Amino acid sequence: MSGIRLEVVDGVTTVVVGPPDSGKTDLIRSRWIETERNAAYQPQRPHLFRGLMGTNLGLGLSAEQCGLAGQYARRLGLESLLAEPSLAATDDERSRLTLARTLARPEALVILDEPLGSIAPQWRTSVIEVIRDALAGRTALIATVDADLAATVADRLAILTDGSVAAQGPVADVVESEWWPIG
Amino acid sequence: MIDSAAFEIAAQVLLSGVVATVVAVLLGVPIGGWFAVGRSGRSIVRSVIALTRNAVPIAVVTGLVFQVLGVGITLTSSRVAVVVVQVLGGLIITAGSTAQAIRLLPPNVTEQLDALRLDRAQRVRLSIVEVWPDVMGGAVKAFASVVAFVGAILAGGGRLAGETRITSPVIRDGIGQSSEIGAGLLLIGLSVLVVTVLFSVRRTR
Repeated sequence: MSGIRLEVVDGVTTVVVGPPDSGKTDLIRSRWIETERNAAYQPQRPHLFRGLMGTNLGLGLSAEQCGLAGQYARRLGLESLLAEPSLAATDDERSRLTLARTLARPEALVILDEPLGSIAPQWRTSVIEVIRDALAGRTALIATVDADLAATVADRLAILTDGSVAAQGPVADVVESEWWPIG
Repeated sequence: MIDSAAFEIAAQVLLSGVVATVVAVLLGVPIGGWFAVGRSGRSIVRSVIALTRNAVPIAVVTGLVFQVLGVGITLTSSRVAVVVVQVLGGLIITAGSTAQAIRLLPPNVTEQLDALRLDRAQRVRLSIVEVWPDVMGGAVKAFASVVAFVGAILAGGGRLAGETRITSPVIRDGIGQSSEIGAGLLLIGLSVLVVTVLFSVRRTR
């Protein structure tokens, strides 16, 4: 991934789009490591630890942040599941719960790797809305193949092909480029 | 008919084994977790724990500890000493099992732990809960080991007057008092060597 210079602008959401296996995960993960992991990070394959889903929701959060995570969880339809054991969670529920927790974290930079990857179709709209609301005014970096998500939450777009940034900039500029639409 | 003394010995072995295992789990699990989770200076300690767990018979380790501490051989036949010896041996097993299980957590789990940005104690606690089946396995292994290696040998074998003898006096009588520490080190060295060779052979297959 050397040679790539992805611009992440403060206070806006940058969405990295590209076909599967184009290097999006490596790119944003390396940015997370560059920050010495000092960012709210949602991995592509989130994991729930043994215990209740509600306990998992509050992991690593202060009381105030737990309240915020609870609000996101309610909007994502998780309220009735918080007393359930985490081992029974589906991939979709796991993704929604860890997303609610990640978005409630206080770090200046939020990094989400394919946040819609495991989301069930009926929850897509809610998830996109929660992401959009939670990231308003924050610095964020999102990797996705999902054009709906990119169109809804992105202030800036970066198009990744074959491991290199083909185009990046404000959404209006990138969608006018030869690289859009992707794939 | 089984002698009533045999029941007494078996009960003592089991009781001391259970007590020693509980104490070993309470101490060894957090110790193993602590070394497995840290980021710096841990690899050597972890390797030593893991290797020792597999390589060194408990009786050898604990016998050496008693010798180094200058404690008389007669102490090894006391009830307290037996439990202490068992705890030491069980602690190595439980710490090693826990550390190894945490080290083998899948990459997405460790990445999630990193993302949570927990302090070390919280991370240890969460990791231990995550690997609790391995922790339980380590506890069972520790119990079996302490009973087999120490309980039976010290509380059982050494109690049959004039017929059986524990390992340490045999070594002492055989090679002389001054060479006991050297003999212990030699046995540990041989154990590590054998396990290293076995690991190497297994890896090349």
